[in-house]
Amino acid sequence: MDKVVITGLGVVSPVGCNVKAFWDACLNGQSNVQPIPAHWNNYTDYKSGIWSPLPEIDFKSHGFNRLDLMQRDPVSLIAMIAANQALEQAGVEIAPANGKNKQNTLLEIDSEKAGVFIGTGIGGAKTFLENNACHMLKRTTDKLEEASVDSDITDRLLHPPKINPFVVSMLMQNSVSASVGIKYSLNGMNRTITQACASGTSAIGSAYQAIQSGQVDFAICGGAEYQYDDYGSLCMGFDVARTLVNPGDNPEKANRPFDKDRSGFLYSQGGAGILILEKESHAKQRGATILAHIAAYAETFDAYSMMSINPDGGEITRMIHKAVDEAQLQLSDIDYINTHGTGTKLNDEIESNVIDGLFGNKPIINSTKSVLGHSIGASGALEAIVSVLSLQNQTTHPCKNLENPIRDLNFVTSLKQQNISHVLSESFAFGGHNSALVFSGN
Amino acid sequence: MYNRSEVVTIVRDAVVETFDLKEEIQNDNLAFQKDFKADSIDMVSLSLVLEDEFEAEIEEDQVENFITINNVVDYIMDRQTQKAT
Repeated sequence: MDKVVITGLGVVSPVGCNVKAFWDACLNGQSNVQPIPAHWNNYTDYKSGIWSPLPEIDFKSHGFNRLDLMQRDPVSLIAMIAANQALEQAGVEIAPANGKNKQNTLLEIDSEKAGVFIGTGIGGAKTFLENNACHMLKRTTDKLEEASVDSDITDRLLHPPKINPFVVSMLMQNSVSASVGIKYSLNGMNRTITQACASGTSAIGSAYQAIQSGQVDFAICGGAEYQYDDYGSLCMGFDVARTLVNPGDNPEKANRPFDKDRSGFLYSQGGAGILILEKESHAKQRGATILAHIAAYAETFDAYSMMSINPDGGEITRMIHKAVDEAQLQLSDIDYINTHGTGTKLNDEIESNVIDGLFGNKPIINSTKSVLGHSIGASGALEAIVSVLSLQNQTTHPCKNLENPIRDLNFVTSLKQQNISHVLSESFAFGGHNSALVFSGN
Repeated sequence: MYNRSEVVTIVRDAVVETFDLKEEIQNDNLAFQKDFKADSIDMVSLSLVLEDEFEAEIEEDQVENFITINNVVDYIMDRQTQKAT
């Protein structure tokens, strides 16, 4: 039976907007921790007050024109940038298609057997929030300006000058996978997976299953998230839920998954991680370089709480057994676990307890969120990319800021050569979704 | 305030950008639907580009009256005159 292989990777992240910059930053533990935008403090007092922003992206240098910027939320734009990188690495030739929407076509790829599977937690929330502000505030701000009210007040009532007529098509979650499908003229399955923090992992799992079942031969898959809005509303939502990291005296060292002194997760502006998956024979036929393969995907649901993992970890345990069984491996075959590892008290406690019970301290363990912060729907895809790069390079990044581990697990604390044949990458989500991928070398 | 020749240039460029045309426009009697296969979404896109260029709102109910490039130029010229007076 054909394996499902990975032939391309693409990244937009707070620590780099291409695979090499991203990987180098991960290996060197180079995070991007900054104070939140100053004007967000006009609206509330944040307990956390730090985040991991994306670098400024010159969208026009990536070939987007004014209409693209007017008609696509940034979450779709960064997904397309990462998809383009992944296609290039996969050696897929991209050619202009005939049409009026600046579409492309993928040469030597059957568009009817090519699909798109992208996860996102909140889709075009930036577009929704800012256009909603216009809807709510425009007439009020017009009247305040007529009345010459102090600009200190009116300047805080931020909103675009008018509602964008494309607002609905920009805010809907499926606009992310639809944007990628339109850009490359792909007519196969086009799915958006929305499972909060597990979205990226589940999207890759869905693509893997679609290739296994023969519905597609080729898939662009992964996750994308863009968590900036003018008012900091999205950040505020996590902040009031007390899920975010306490910056303490040293914000650079505050984000510390699996450490006894952890206090929450580092809010990330987002990012995009995109992988190209193919049926093995398809990849070989077109001479693509195979980076790794997916050996299994498993998913369970806690059915316990909207915001908390079930403390008994039962469904996470069941998911890991399902994944390892499907991969036809033993638990002892797993060399490396790329954890969900958010840095929240409860999550890390439960996750490390499950790992301890199933694997002991044999596999190496790290948390990519210790470097990147938490990019919600993109996180699982970025962690999948770290998993593939770890297999390729036989090393992985240290678990940053881990000084006093909560358990005696084999945490990666320094950069060194490792023996990695099989990787388990797992994600858990608000709602109760658990998903895991097993990656293996070739 | 732009003169007619300047408005024509800006509108032609906006049409080239919106419809991703490969050649410049020489004829302002070209019709959006007939010559560019424009649909209603294309016309909304064109109005967004024009609003950005002229930093002025294009009235939504006027867009359906844009049959040719000349109609758009006339509309922009009229709006400028109304604003000035």
